[in-house]
Amino acid sequence: MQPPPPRRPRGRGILAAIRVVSVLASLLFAFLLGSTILMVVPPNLEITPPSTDGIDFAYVDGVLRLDTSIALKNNGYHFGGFAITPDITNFTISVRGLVENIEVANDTSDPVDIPIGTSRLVPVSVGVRLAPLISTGYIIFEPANITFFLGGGATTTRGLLDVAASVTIGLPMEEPLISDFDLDFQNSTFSNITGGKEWRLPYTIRSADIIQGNASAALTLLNVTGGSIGNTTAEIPLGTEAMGNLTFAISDESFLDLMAGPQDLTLQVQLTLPGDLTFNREVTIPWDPSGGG
Amino acid sequence: MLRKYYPGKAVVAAIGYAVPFVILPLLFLSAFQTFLPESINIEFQVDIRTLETLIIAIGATIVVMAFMTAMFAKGLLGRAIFGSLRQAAKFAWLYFFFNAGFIAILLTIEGGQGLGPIPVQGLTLSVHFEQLLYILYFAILLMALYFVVEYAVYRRVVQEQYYVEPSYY
Repeated sequence: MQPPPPRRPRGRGILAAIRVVSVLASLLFAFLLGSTILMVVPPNLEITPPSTDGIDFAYVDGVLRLDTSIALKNNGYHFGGFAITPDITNFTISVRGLVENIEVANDTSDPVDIPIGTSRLVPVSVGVRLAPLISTGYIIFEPANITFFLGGGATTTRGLLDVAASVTIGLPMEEPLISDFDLDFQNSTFSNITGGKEWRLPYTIRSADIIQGNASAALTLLNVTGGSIGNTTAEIPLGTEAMGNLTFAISDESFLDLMAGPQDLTLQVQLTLPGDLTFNREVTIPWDPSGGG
Repeated sequence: MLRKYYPGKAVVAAIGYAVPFVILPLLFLSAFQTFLPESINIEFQVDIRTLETLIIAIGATIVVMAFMTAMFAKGLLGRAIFGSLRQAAKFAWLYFFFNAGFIAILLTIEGGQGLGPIPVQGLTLSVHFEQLLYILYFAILLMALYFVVEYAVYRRVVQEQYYVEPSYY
């Protein structure tokens, strides 16, 4: 006796439907991921960095501002006349800046949409705050390595996918903003005043032209034992090479101490920049009464 | 005539799953370590050695599950159980291989050359696609459901063929 042919079960259509939907979902995943990777591959996405001339530097109220812009063109990838790659939405550029591992900048640009076939100029504005560097003197008195993490991020494929790219940029400073603060002891003069002497001490100071205005300086001279010789204040013009005179009123006792012989003097400088940023600096200056410092 | 077990199909299925879930990923990781310069680093959820171990362990589980799934005839409970477990193993495999939906490529540039006049030291490209991965998880879930529905659909056929009239096979 032959067995009956196997019965075709009901519900096979549901099984086929489940399998088809599962395969389609897998294909959709592969397509969306692949098209997004294609989106960021040149020449589908063109990024034009700023030229050297295109970066503006300025010091404004304690913040060193860098303004520039980056051009982006979303050419897209086309297949058979259809754009495979998605539009770029909510594109932002963020910048994090570190000076010797101290965070000084953290800015993010406004979001920009870049549909396929369009180009956009994304403004980038970075504010390097000098306040966190007060205790170190970096940038103002000491050259430093500034590291910027410049990141571009966007949402694509109807919000299902976030793409981010970042570059690490190292900008070593050749010179600090304020350099070459020199006291000219050889041309210093003493004159008699009531109760002691007036010590007229020529100085020169050179500062970068991006920092403008006047700095208020409070200076104190200390002898080798740490005793105060005298103090003074001065308004120092910035953004140029400036020369001037510091005038210390010193007692007869301090004058005799200075004339006794060579010694290392200590100059304590409290410099207040526009924007009420006060930096303290202490320098040791060799002093010789026979020939100045 | 229906049979209860299919060893030939099971071997073919095991090989079919070993290629995409064990052999190709291991070749990819091997090529990745051999040919990629040291300056380029792709960030995974775990280090590469651990990832290789995970791929072998989870991939081998998938292969065994695929073997067992194909071994049983449609409508047998064994096929439904091993088929669903295979999907669970695939879920774990995808989670680790796609780094839970995050890929980061780190590129270190020596000499500070790069973006126009700007000295670039490194470049990172990262893609967050956790939400996109849900589509793949959905496909896996559907296939797990498939084996449950398949069991329900073919159970009566199996009962008729194997148990109601056992003399036929």
